[in-house]
Amino acid sequence: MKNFFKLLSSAFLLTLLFTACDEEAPEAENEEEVITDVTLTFTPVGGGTPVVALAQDPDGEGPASLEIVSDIELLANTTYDMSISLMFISGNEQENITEEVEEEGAEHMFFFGFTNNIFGDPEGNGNVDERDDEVINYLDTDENGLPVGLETQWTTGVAAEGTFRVVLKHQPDMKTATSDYTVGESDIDLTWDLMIE
Amino acid sequence: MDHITHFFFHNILSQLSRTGIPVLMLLCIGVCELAAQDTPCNGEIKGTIYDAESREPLPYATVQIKDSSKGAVADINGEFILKGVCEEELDLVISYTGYKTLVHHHDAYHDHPSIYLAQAKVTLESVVVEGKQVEGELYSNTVSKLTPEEFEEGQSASLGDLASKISGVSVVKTGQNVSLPVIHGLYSNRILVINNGVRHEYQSWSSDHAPEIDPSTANEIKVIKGASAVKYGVGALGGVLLVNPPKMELSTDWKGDVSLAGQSNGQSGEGGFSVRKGMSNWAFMAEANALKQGDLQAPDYILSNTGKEESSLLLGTRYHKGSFDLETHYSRFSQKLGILRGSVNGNLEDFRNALEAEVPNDTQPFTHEINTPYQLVVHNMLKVSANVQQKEQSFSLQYAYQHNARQEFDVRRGTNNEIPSIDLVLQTHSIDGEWKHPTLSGWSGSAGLQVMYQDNNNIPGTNTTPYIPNFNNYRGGAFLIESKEIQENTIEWGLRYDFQYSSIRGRESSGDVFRNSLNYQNLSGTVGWEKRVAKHQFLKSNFGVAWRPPSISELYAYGRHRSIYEYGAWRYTFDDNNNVVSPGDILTEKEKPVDSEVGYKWVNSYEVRNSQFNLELVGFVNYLDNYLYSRPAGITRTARGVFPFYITDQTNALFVGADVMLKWEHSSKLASQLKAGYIYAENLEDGTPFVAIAPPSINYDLIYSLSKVGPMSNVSVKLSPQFTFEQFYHPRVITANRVIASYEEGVNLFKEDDSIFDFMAPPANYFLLNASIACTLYDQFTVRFSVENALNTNYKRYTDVMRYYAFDTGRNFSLKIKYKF
Repeated sequence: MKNFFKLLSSAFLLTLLFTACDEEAPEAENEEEVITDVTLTFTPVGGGTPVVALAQDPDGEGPASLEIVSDIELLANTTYDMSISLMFISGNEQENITEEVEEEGAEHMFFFGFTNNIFGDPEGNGNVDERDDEVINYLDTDENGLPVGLETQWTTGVAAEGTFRVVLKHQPDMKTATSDYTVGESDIDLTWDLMIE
Repeated sequence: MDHITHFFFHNILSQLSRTGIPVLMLLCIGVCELAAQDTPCNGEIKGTIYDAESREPLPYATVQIKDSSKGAVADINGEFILKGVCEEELDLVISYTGYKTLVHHHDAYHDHPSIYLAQAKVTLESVVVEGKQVEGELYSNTVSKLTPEEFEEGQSASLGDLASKISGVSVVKTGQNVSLPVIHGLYSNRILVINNGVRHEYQSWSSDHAPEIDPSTANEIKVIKGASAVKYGVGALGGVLLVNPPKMELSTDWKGDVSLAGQSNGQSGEGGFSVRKGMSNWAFMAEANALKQGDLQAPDYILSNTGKEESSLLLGTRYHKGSFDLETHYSRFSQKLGILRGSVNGNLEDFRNALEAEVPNDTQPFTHEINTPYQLVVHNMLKVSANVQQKEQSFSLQYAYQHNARQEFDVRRGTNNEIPSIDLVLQTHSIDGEWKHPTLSGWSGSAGLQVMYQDNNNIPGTNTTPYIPNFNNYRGGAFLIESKEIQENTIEWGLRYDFQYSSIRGRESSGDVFRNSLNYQNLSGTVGWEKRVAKHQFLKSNFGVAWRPPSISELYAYGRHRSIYEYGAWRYTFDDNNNVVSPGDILTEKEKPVDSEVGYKWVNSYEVRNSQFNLELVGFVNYLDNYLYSRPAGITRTARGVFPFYITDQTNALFVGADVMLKWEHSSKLASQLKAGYIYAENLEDGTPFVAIAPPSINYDLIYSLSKVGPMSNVSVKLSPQFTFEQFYHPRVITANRVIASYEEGVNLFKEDDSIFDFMAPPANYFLLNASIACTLYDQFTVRFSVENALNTNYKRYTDVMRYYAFDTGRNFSLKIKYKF
């Protein structure tokens, strides 16, 4: 029986000789699918210290949950320009995904949902439940003149506490003046605690 | 053993060098003279003639030596003897009134041919079987196949859909065009597909991947329902699906066909042709087929982006001289398969919205265009096989090369939409050698060796971390199968040893490289018994042990798959609170051994085969040790939103079931066929069911046939009602909303109960009605018109992933015209 296996393994070795083996690892790829870091930066229009709200998921697609590192703490009766940054960060790998969304604005749109009337402007609870362009103050537009939402403006009212939800929808060939939150795939869906003092 | 191999090579080599064929893939050169057997004119040819359909002996058929006056007539048992034959090789013409005449190239090495004559009125072709041919080398195996009519009717369908017409076979779908054959509840890497004698090697680690084989270039498909690992090797836990091309016969005139087909649902068009020709030493064949199909349609809406494009080619040559045969085959199959646009979702909330949508998201007007998501697959195969047939024994050696390229395009941002997110090339070289030994004190059997080398590579440029690492597999195996007839019984046994060495290189999402090498080895075996209980009645019992090593994805998967996350066995561990966490480094077999999955399958069947009545009653038990499966383990939140995550775990599983096929000719015009099956599957560790086990179903065919009406012959009208039950034994249901809510509440739904769940209850039972009419016009044209889902019923299949998003396809008319020459 032992000889038999010897024969077997020599036949096997011959096959090995016949096939050039490459033992290469797959080449490194730029990860453009996963987003680990989402940063909201609220800059007061009249000048002052910007407010930064960060959400981080260091293990990306791993089992550990994303963490809201810092809440949104805004001053009452102030107007802010808000910009959103999206990054993939893992080890030494870094990929700026904001740029991609900007370039492909025509197929992306941010939707916002918040505690009813927590802002002075926009009023209401945002456009997640029902889309109405007038509600959110979008500062940027795509090539078709439709809003994107990487840049928006917010004016706080009196002191209050609530939540602030940001949803990025990918709507390739689906984005229109009326396409709402239910259209397309969610690339981002995060909710922050919002405090206005 | 050495002696055998030596002998084996010498025989083949001598034949090769005598014929001047370039010596391919052979490792040593040697020439020896094969003694020419000059038979004086006392040569004798014996054979038996059967009816191809009933497989009963056919008395009084005529056997004539071509271009000579010599001939014989078969006796009442269908047996004939031709005496005083001078030639070592000659052509026999076998004919009988009302049957298709057959020319058979006979040589002295292929003793006692069994000739199966087909009646002129049936689709079946007359064939010759030289020597004993048993599928899987086992008499005790339960083998089921489609009738030629059923095969021809379903040839335009995918392999999975076509195979599911065989009793005991069902289909798992992960897209309207992605159909995986399921044998007794097992599929993917738990069954084997043997295409043209070669193990079909593809990315079988995912249920999103159907075998890339075009039934339209095949001639028949068969299912071996036992755990046939002994003959076919690693992976045959559920059974084996055999896809056979047409045989290349010598001494035949030009034969072939041209066919055109169209279907209303999907507005598809299909065209194909085949040609065959046999000379005295050479034969060849060529077949090609192409298909284009647009968006399919459910009764109430278009299923956007479910088009497909397919093309296939099969070329073959055969060289024959004396005892030696050399066959070469090349086949190519390419496929572009659209996946329902509405099935794409970013997170669990999108998924819930898709589930609730009355019409799938982003439903567009009908088009033949295919957009993302889609799969693009090209499978190439080259096979060279040599066979030396002697009076008492035979040797065969086969080399095959397979090149499988798979690209998967997802809906992605901007320019990435044009880039595949999965781009893999799998190359496989295999060598199979087999020796059928002379009968030794009643025992006949065969011994064989198989070696395989496989190389899987990611093609760079996907802009996402590869889901599957690069790997190389080296596999070797040896087997011995023996059987013995004792009166009305045949007993048999088989033993096999396999080993597999794998070298793995992958990348973590941080870009760091990981490497590992793995060894797996196992023994498998089989014992079986067949008894002829009465005329045309057989009892079969077969017990087989089969195994498979864990697949690469079961070890290394990491990341999102539709609306869940999946982690392979070495990508997760538990913390002190028994929560699933990422290990620092990817684990290895030292830290966490993952044993091979071993299946023990016992299949029993009772078969009745005569011309009026055909019955196949099959019962099976399959116990799977270390059954690898994916179970829910928690809920995570990423920037995309909330997702349940699944981990690869091992359990013990039990699959029990029965199926029946009954064909009954009530009169010369009216026949019935009934097929039904039932499977029960349980996770033995927690006593819960598995997901997507096909519910019981009953298929009935009523066939009315007429031999001649005006210019039409072989007219047959078929009415096929089918009833599929709701799957009552199913995993618990947890809705997407409940998963999201429990995350918000900070509760791990799966901590107490980690059994499998489903987001949706199984679909209700449904009734479908199909009908078809087929006939032959002016003897050369066959025309087939059929309607599927004639009542345009809205239904969902439990084993189809698309059931979450849409109803299955609605009414479909199809027309196929074939011209035979």
